[in-house]
Amino acid sequence: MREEVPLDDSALVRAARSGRHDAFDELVRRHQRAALQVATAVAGSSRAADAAQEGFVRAFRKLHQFDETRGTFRPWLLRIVANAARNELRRLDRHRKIDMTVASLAVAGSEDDPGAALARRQEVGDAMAGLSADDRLILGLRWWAELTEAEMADVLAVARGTVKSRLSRAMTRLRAELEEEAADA
Amino acid sequence: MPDLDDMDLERELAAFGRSLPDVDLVDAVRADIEAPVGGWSLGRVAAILLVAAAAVLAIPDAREAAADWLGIGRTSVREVDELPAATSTTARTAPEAAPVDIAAAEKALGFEIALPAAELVGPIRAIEIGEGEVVLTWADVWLTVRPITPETPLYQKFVDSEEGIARPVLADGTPALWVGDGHVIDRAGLRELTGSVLLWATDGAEYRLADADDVATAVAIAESAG
Repeated sequence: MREEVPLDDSALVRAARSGRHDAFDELVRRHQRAALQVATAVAGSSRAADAAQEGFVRAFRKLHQFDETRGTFRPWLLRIVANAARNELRRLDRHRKIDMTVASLAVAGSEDDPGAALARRQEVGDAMAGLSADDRLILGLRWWAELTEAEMADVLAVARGTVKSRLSRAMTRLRAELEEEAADA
Repeated sequence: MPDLDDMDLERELAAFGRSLPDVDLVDAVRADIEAPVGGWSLGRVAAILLVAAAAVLAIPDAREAAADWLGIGRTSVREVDELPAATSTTARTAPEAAPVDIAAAEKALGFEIALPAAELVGPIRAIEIGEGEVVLTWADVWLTVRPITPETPLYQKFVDSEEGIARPVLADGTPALWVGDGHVIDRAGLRELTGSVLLWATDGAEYRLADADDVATAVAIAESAG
């Protein structure tokens, strides 16, 4: 069955609209990692899978709204996932700090001290958790899902120049969080 | 890490993103979209229970490095060609008369312990309050709980790379790490041969469940904790 699935996202969307659930399976397969990264950025590690799943289900139900002449599928999907993650965040205790947990590590060969690298990476997670959902989202889109500025602009529905300035401010606040953590330690 | 320049910070951010676990959502999403609207969805349950291969296995450029080591909380797991020599084992018996005082344990830790469901593990037999950690013992398993802070000692586990016994899993959506029987743990230079453990981290605490029969049992116990 999978050999028959077309390769282009837009073609998959058209096939899924016509009732081919296996075509939507392929879209999920292709984009689930980015969806999980975006969901983690917004809602935290422990809620990410639920939020990403909810995002895919909403996207499926909105497939008729996707307009391939106005953009590609991935940013369109990730905007829906980000909104689903925000809802997940609101549905639960909004005052509780989200969790950003290092689950596994891929370390460059030059890093001889895994313990230090592990601690450093978790510090970044903790600092991310201290930011607003908007800041986490833009950092997650750029550094985790590795979207281009144009794609980020699509997800956020803002101009590319706005993406640049927001990203810069989010990085500044992340650095401030790290400095605050270091000062508290 | 205030001394990081922008490039370093960007690299750390990207590395954190790569460390996030993969979950295969395909079957769960399919179940949801095929379920009657408003009906109870098996998909969400499936998504939680479905555990994909390690995130790192799905990232080609990270695959080689990630085969070297994994980590969670304040514990890292390193795959090595040859296990380091251990001076003892962690074979363990509950103290005869250790008091079961959850409140005292939580006071010592400074947070509430997410306890596994009694129907899965039975009654607690003992609670030992150590320096920076608490150990809870049941008939078949025991659980070590530590805060995740910069002061918490880093533990290093070593597994035989050929046995492939360390793998990330998810427990109720929370990233976890299963390390099978027959690995070595190094705690402040004391190396012990130890059995299977499931590690997970939540709400700023590291949980280490030891001696569960298998990963499915361990994950079920972890998922019941709350």
